[in-house]
Amino acid sequence: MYLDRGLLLAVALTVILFPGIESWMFADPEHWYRPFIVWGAVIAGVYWNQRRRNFDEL
Amino acid sequence: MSFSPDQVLLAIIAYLSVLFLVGYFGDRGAIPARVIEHPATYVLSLGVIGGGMASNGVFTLAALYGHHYLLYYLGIALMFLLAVLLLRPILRLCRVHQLASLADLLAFRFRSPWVGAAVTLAMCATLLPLLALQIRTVADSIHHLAGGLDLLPGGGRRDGLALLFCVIITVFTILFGTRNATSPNRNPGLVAAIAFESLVKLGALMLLMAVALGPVFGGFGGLGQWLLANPGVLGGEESALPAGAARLLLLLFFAGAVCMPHIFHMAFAENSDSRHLRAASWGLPLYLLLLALPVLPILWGAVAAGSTLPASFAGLGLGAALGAPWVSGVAFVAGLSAASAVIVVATLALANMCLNYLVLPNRLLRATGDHGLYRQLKWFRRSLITALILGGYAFFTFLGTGQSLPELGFLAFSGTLQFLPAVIATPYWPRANRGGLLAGLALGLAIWFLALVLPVLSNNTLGITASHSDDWTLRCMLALLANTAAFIIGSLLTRRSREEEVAAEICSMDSGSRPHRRTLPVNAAADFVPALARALGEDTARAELDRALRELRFEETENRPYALRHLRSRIEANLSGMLGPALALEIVDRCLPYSKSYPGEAGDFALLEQRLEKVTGRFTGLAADLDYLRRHYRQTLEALPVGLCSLGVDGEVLLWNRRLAELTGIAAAEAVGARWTTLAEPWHAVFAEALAAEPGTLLKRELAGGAPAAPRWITLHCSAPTADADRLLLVEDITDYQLLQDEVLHNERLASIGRLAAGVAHEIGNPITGIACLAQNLAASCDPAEVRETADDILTQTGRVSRIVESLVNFSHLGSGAGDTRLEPCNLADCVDEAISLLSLDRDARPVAFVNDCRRDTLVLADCQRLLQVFINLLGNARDASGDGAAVTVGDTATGGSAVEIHVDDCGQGIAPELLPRVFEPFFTTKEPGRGTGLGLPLVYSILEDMGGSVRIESPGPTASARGTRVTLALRAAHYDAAFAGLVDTAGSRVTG
Repeated sequence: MYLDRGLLLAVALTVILFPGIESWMFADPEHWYRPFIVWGAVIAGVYWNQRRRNFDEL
Repeated sequence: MSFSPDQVLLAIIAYLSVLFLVGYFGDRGAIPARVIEHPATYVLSLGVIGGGMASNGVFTLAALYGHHYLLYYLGIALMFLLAVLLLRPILRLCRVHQLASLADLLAFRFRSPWVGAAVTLAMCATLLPLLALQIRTVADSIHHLAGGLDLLPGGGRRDGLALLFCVIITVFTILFGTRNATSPNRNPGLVAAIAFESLVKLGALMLLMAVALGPVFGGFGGLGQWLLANPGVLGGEESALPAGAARLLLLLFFAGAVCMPHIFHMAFAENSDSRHLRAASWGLPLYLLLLALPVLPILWGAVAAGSTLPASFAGLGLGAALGAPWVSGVAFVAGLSAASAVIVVATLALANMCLNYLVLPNRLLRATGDHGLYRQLKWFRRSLITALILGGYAFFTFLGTGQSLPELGFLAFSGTLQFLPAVIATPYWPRANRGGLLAGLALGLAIWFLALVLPVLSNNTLGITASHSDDWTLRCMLALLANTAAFIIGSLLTRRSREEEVAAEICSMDSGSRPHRRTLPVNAAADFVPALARALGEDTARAELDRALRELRFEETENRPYALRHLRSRIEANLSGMLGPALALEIVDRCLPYSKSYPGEAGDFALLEQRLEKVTGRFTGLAADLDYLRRHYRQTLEALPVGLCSLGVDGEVLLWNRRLAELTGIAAAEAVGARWTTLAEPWHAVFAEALAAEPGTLLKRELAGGAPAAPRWITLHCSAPTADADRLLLVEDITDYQLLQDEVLHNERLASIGRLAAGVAHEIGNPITGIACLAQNLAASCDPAEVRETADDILTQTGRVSRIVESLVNFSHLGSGAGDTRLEPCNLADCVDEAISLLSLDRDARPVAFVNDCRRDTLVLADCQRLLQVFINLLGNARDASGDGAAVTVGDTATGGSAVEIHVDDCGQGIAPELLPRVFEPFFTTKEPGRGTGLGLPLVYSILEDMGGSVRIESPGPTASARGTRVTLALRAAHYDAAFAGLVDTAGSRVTG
């Protein structure tokens, strides 16, 4: 079975870092957009991970 | 509000007309294919996910739980961010097997139309709340937009508005989704329209955010100050939703991304390129981020502007509070576009499921004749779309107004959550079976209905919108856990059918499917039509065959078993897209059943290798090493300098290497997968002979009339059957070797002629001298009787000269046609006599006594000229090995069968045992340097082989003196009747094509 190692690393990092990130996201009500910044960062990471593989795996 | 009901109605029709035109142009090709098939279009079409919940329901969630409204988007986004885990294997299955819905997927995996029917019924039940949510979103929006007026007189509230909307959307959906009857999936117009809808929705929400940030707050700074001034809007909101409830919502929306029929349809059935899923894995989360971003500013803007409408209609309220009708119009379009997209796609998907699993199983057998099947499908689909939308409307009117939009959404998502265990098991748990699935689904849905739906029907609320209540969470989790437990226990306690095992293997992530080589009851692609016509009708069967042939790029004359199996699979897949996998399987199994007579289940290596080549890059670790080894050995076989062919026990060609393709002029692509019996001549005959021969026999054959004009010589070596009962055939082109051998033979003969020249001169000299003397006597003689006697003497001497010259000429004629062995009955004793006569011409040779003991009536099937060469070589060797005056004897023995054994015995020193195995090697000689070339015996071997005979040497020979050497030749016997009838046996020696 093929499992993307980058994905596994990302999941592991998320589990480890999530408490800190969560407190940062909701620490200041004035900065209501912080969750979107984190979300955007995740998307960028996935984009970077996907563009390395350009073959049709199906 | 300042909109009249007529204006709202016209706006709906106008918007849906635009959507229809986009779809129409998309189907007609007016929109370039590169636009429709672009990954961005695919990602936008997946925006159907953000339906009524995204445009209205989430505002309620945001008002209640603040940032927790993001769970809706994050759950869906998470599924796509982790696409590699679940979406990609499902997409693979859907694309390969033309599965268009979740019912198709599960019916395919669990190999049961009952599973498809159960999933379809359950899906219809769980989707009713979602359809009701969309209808209510639009109806309430119209109601608010029209200032509380109804469009229909006496309609009571907004029911009339909703009915009008349903009628319009039904017409649109029918026009839109039922034009292509042969394949309900892959509808480019639908993809274009839904992508357009997603853009409209996103644009509308962005515009509303701009309004909120601009006119209301005066920029981001103003919003920040407003938030500081109104801490109650944000303060403590994150703690309002219990942690368990948050996790459940995340799971609900995560599961919804694959279990909801409209999302499944757009993600898998409408996927035109599997690589698009990679783009969607980050593109859709990005789209959802953009969709989620405006929610809070719009909500806060409405609050700050003093909106009096419920939070779900914050956009409308913002416009109303600002006194800007166009803002309300934009908000209405956002809700309308989201709701209409969900209704269109969800009903299309549900209609296909109902058609495949609830309607067609009872209707299919009546479909005969012309294209009636396609027409029936179209009308059934239209009827089902109407029924489903009206069902949603009925549920909407039944519910009333007590529930919030998020509660309706929750009901639908929690219902479809019950499919998640089966979906996960499809690629990851091969042990799962239909018994477990049906048990789990029944239990989970029963609890879902009793614990979640009934309270809503009776009390109008679940309490989702009541802060700190997580009772609904427990009920939902109970349904899921009971479902999962029943699924697992049921699967473990019941057995899988054989079909389920095969399907599980196909679906499994860990083991690729191992296709088997089985026999079909048809001989060519064209034979599929009458076979399929029994179930589909003549025209439909023809259309399906043409479609499959076109897709696979096969000709109708295709007759390779591999290609026919491939064609069968493609037709099943295409029918699966139209009728569902269960029915497609039933039809194909009934009309084109695999033969049961085939022993065992040999692998379809051609197909397996094709699949492995496609996924080579995916292997890691040990699997990658094994694949590397596989490729290495494959390349080794391909690069062999001899032709290699592997034949299955059923006669199918499994391997055809590059050298063999060059040798035969038949490309591997044509040969692999075909039966060897269909090979063109001369290869058919050659293979037949090689396979009929004893394993290990080396056959040498001449090919004439093949692709190259010049004749060629090949050797064939067939192996014993392997463990899989396959046979290996080695084919080597020995034309160059044969030509060289002929040249050597010719040179050897010339050398012999040279050696004989002195003897010839001597032999001819004597009669010539006699003739000269007789001629002188003749000149002086006048007696007629003496003249006649002298003339007779001259003629006798002339005859002697002629015989000597004829023998020499016969011997020398061997050279030109040496490679052209022609078998005919030869008198053995005469041939030996002639050889002895020729050898006697060599005056320098050792004097030995040649004894011809061959029976005068023995005939052998041989090439007389070449047999003469054999005896000259053997007798010459025997003479060289014998002492002066020794006897060299040639005799023959009938073996009792159809063969004759000829013995050449000498009384020489014999051959040392260690040298015996080497005597047939070219250039090996025991003679002194310069006395022998070492080619005599190899030539004897070669000539005997060409004539279908054999040669063996014993030393010491079985003579009384137990010394010397015996050479034994075996040749086929011939008979006088055949000889006198002039029959010539050329079979087995010269193969022409």
